[in-house]
Amino acid sequence: MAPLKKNLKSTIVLAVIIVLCIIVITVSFKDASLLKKAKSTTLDFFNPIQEKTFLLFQPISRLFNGIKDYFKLREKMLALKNENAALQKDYSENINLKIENESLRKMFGLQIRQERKTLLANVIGFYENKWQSQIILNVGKSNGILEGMAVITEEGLVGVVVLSSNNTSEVRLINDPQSSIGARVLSSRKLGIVEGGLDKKVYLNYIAASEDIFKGDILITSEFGEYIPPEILIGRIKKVSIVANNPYKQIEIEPFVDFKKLENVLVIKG
Amino acid sequence: MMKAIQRILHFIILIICLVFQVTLVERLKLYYINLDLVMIAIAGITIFDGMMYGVVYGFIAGMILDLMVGNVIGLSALIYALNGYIVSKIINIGLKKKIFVYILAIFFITEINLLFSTGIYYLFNFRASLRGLGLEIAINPICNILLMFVLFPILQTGRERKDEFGFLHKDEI
Repeated sequence: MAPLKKNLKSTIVLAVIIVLCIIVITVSFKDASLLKKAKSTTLDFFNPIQEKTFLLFQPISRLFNGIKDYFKLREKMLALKNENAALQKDYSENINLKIENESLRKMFGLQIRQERKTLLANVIGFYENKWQSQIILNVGKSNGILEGMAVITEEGLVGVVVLSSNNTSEVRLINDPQSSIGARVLSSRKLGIVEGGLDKKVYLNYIAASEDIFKGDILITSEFGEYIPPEILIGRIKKVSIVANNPYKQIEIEPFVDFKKLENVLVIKG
Repeated sequence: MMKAIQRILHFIILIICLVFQVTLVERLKLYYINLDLVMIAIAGITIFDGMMYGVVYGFIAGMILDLMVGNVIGLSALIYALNGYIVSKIINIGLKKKIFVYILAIFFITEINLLFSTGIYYLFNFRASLRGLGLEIAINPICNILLMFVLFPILQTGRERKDEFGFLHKDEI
């Protein structure tokens, strides 16, 4: 009799939990702002322990990434050598162009580009499944971080802050299927939208099938974003294909940032 | 008294698993290989402490995970609570070797979680990739079963022999 009673009690608890979960799911889907406070509090609560654990496991994830990289080392070195030679060639030319550009801007009374104000942040959490790719940073509202701010590394765009609590913030990576960022092809100046796919790849969408887009073209953020500043490197075009009956090309991007290796990032504050 | 301490200890282990999941395991993911430390911990807790603890701890851990990193808040809480219930049903099927029961439980809940979460996300207007799902269905149970061999001995530490699964459920098998 006793196990039966215990079983009934457990089933009632399960039923209550199921109902509660369905209510929470509906509320979170209908109006996510209602649960924002609870989300912020949880993030802040786990911040210290997450930060310590992340630091503790950093050697393991570095070792793991090192093993993964080892097999591509030779190929990567050759690519970097070629890239370095091309960059050295462009370097002096670019300095001259920069000086010329600034003097012309002064001459015509145009505003000289301001250096962006950034804040260094440590990655303390990473979460990835088919429908989302996020990182957690150890900076939040108390450091002046607001939702919508762009997150970058020296390699390029990482993502956008989607939630900012007191000491922690959540960043949606550009390979998240919900991420959508305005982009421009550097060489042809064509505009498109960079979106994440379910396969964790990044795609440039809404480029007409008739447009000329080439493998290797570099993508930067467009000037039309509300929060994301223009001219931030996103990635390189990896594959261009035409799908039958689709008015747009299918363009796969290779982001400059390796999301799994992120340890420190910069948040653009303005 | 000893049991109460162990249950508290299991809750602490569950929270540690949750933190490990977000700080380490997610970074080690490769292609379609996904390890779910929290799910295995909940299965272990259900086996060693009973259905009630599995369901309640599953709900709490899932809700924390959702609030930390979730897209649809409440979904992981629902899935992990159901995991506790499913595991408690599987341990009653009456296989002689307990190791087979453990493997079967992990296999089933991994598959159910994948199908259930894909279904729910699809209902909420997210896209679904059948190829990705197929690969996950094939690969993930194996990875989680391997991880089970690491986590279950930790959860079993300090248990008296008579408390172990075979004895605890001797009337039910």
